[in-house]
Amino acid sequence: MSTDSTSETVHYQPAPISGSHAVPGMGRWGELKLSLRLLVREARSGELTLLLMALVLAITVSTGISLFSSRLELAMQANANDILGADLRVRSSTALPDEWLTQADKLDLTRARTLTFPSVVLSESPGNESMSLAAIKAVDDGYPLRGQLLVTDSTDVPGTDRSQGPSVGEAWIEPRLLALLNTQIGERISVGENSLLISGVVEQESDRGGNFYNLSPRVMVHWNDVADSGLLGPGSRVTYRLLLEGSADELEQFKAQLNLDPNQKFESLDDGSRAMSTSLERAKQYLSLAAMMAVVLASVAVAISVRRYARRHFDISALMRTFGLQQGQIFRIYTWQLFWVGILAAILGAALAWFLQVALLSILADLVPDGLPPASILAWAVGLCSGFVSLLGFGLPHILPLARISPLRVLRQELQPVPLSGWVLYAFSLATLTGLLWVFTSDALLSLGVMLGGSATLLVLLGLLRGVIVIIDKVLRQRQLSLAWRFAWQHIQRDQTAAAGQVLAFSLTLMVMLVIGMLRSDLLADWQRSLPTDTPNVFAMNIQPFDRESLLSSMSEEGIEPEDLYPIVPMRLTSVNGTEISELEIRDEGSIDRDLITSSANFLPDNNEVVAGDWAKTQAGPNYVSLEVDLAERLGFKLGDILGFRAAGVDFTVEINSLRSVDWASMTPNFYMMLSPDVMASLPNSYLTSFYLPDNQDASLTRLIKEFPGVTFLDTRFLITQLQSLLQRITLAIELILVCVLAGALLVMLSVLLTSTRERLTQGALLRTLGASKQQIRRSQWVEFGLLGGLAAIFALLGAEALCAGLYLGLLDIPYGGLGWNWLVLPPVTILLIGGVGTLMLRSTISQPPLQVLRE
Amino acid sequence: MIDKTVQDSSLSSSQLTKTVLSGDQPLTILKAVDLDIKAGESVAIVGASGSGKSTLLGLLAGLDVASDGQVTLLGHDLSAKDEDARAAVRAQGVAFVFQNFHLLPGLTALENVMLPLEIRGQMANRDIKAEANRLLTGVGLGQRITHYPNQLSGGEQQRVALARAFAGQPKVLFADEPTGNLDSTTGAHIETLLFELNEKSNTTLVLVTHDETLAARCQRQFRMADGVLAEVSI
Ligand SMILES: Nc1ncnc2c1ncn2[C@@H]1O[C@H](COP(=O)(O)OP(=O)(O)OP(=O)(O)O)[C@@H](O)[C@H]1O
Ligand SMILES: [Mg+2]
Repeated sequence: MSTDSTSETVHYQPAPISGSHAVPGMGRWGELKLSLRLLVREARSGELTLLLMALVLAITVSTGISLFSSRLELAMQANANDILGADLRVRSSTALPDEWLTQADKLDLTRARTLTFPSVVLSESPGNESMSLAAIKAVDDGYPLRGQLLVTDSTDVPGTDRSQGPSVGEAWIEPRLLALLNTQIGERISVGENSLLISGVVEQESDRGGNFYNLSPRVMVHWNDVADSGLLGPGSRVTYRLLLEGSADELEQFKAQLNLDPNQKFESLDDGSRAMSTSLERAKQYLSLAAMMAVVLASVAVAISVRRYARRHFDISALMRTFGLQQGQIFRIYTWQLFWVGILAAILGAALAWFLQVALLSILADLVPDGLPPASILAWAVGLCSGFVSLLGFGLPHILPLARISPLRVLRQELQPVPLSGWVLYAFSLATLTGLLWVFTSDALLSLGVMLGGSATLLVLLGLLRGVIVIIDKVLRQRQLSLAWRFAWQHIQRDQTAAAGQVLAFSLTLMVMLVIGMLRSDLLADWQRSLPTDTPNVFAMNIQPFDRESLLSSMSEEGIEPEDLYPIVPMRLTSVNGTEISELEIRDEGSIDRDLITSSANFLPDNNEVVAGDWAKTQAGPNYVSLEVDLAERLGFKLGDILGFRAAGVDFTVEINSLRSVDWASMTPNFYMMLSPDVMASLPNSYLTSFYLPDNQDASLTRLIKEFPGVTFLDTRFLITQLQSLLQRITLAIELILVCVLAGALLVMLSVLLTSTRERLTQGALLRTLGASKQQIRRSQWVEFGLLGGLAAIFALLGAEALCAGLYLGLLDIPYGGLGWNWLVLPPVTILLIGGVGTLMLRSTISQPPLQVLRE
Repeated sequence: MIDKTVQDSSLSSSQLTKTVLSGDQPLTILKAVDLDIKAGESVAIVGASGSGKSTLLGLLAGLDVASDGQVTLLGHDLSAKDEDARAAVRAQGVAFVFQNFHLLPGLTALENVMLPLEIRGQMANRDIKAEANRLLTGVGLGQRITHYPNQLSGGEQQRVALARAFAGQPKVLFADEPTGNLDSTTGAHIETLLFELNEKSNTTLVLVTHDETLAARCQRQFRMADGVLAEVSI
């Protein structure tokens, strides 16, 4: 054989060396191209698929959450004044003073009035006894000033923007109320003693605000239908608002001229968004935490995949060094490769993230405002970047040794690069995660705490698990094991940390799913169960003294036995020990920034316990008040402090002389403040009571509502249903993210598996040349992954039992019945899942002919 | 055969010593090796297993650092350079062939040969492909260019490795047991190819081998025994 290969033109002309480190021909641009070319070639072998999947998961989850939060936040900020519905808004719990109106008119401000309150609405259609709690909003002819009010007259025509509210005698209602009342446009409903025609359906109400925290559906009516009706007795929970529009100057002037009472307030958007926060903000937090779990697991899978990738490229890297590449170039080439994978993952992840946030928003549709603006570019950037941060934080440390490999490896195979010390690696990863968490929660201290606490806990758990593996090892060693078990255990035993890590990842994920599942199904059910069956479920509020006797007799006619009747008066804290509240630090406390519903201390309510002071003296008076102990602690009030209040325009002072603990979970009326009877007697009061309404007696309630339109009946069964559906939605959203977490755990397992496939292939092939059957090898794999799955399930169950018991008994104070049937179901399911996936993943180790394996 | 104008020694060492720690005992693997190889020469290093041949090869090629002494490769004093600078010297025209062929399993034969050309980046992409194709045809693998290493026999893989080493017309080619894993016929084929390169492009050949016939084809022979190198007069 002869060759003419070298006789032709000499292509290679060594360039003169300029500077000792120059490599001819291969600039930064060349590195970039080479990295891409190598990557494309390697991608064919499926080498990077798992890394790509892990990155896509991390990016999908982090971007999805980022988009979700961004859209919510933007909705809060966008068109601030539209959401306010005005340039300036004043709120009052009592009727708007006439001076305000004349003042506004004098300044030539455009104005509108609204008043909102909760009330029960009834269907008036014949044979339809449906009722629902609703958020009534009465608007005058000036409404709306700003923003959108989309209303449709017919459910199959899209709504149009209205410049006026409903006419007298008509009501516009939210679509879901149509369903709740089983009624339609053109039918009638009653609100208090008014019968109203449903003439429209409200599709969007940009100044709704209440949408966020008030779960009741909207009924919009004309001002005149409500303002003079009996619905609004003193003490009913009405909020009046004056909406104003005009030049900044005039508004300033108006603001300056107004003397606000303690129960009156200028509203800014902040108040609104703060109010919305609670449930949505909570949901957002849980989602972010769950999302973080998925990102952590995906990052671990990234680390494992990159490490494996790097290890498989030691030879190539050493070889490229013999071709003359420098350390820095090798490092950059592989970093570029990671980057390319990152770009691809970002594209796929971004698309999936978009769907994820759409899914989240539609699950939480009742909670979020309509017509959300699109997410900001920043949100996209933050989400996508966090994917890259995880890639670099978890991937780069493993690329470093690849560059540091000695080219001598081509002669001496056993040479390994000096790996980065474990500490550096973990510190890098931990810092990365803390950074990511910080972005998610925007709370640096919390992130650091969670990360340090979390990794400490994980370390302890990991140690514990390794201990368990060692113990099992001891036990197994003394036994005569079958071949399948011996090989299975040998694999687990070989890398205890990896095995413990996988078990930990699965058990943590399963544990969280168990706990959430428990909470979802049990929380409200348990709570309801824990209440005696005849626990009051309807509150009757706003009972005027003149209605009192007739209401009581009507109730007994209906066979309803009311609980105790409490005289109540709404009042506002004005001073503490002679100092005006506005000068105290507690002035912004939510609990005093509103009317406190207060009762008289005629008797001690059932679930109350006096923990300090002298209740008998409070009862005897004069001028004492008893406080709920937690509130007192929060505000720093002590026995003997003198509190000043204003109720119904009357100012008075009382001395704290007893503190009570209150069981808020009981469905009986509870009060922060209880006044000595003598004080109460000097104030105009209404009454409040509660009663138990059996399920089949809805008609009685309907009759009572119709007979006493001024009394507000609050049917807590509605509230519980609403709460339940809210909880259901939030947990559903979290479960959606948890599916991603589970995917992360599976990716971790797969990437760990992949690192050992080579070894397994060789071992399997060797075993088979020695005469082992495929069946035997497959059985050994089933045993191995079944064991991992079984261990994970048991740890998950133990952890969930502990966590649930702690949550139920400690935090929620409800009885805990254990996980029960989960103990029977989870282990076999997990064994099947993990055993199945593991065996499936490794099926090539069995199906490949031994010769082919040994040749590679 | 040697072009008289490039008589400068392309590879030399003086007092080259390698001492490693074996346990806590220092162990001297190479003892003051002096060597002077002219450009275009073919040199064989023979010796018992464990005598230090591969160690010497690694030092001569700048893949490792000596404990003492000097190596001059292509006019550069390697002992004064750090790893990256030595890599830059290698990039100027040093190639390797190893006993275990070190092909990239994920790349086809053609891509394996293209790699060093791509890394040196001196040619347009199209030319690189054509050149790699030509080199593979030269070693008799023109029909197998799209095959992956695991689809090739040991001899075929070594021929791909040779084609890769030939790429870019190296000035010095180091080979550590290039025929070690092959049967004698295949080995002879590889030898032929090696010496063709040596002759046609004046490439300096440094071979470590157990194969006496291969050693005999070289212009000079050295024998390594216990870290001491001595030239065998032919
Ligand atoms: N870094 C090192 N640490 C310890 N011992 C080493 C090291 N490098 C080489 N040796 C030892 O030095 C001796 C020479 O090794 P070398 O690989 O050079 O031998 P060789 O002549 O190439 O043998 P073979 O013909 O078997 O390939 C061997 O005994 C080897 O174990
Ligand atoms: Mg050797």
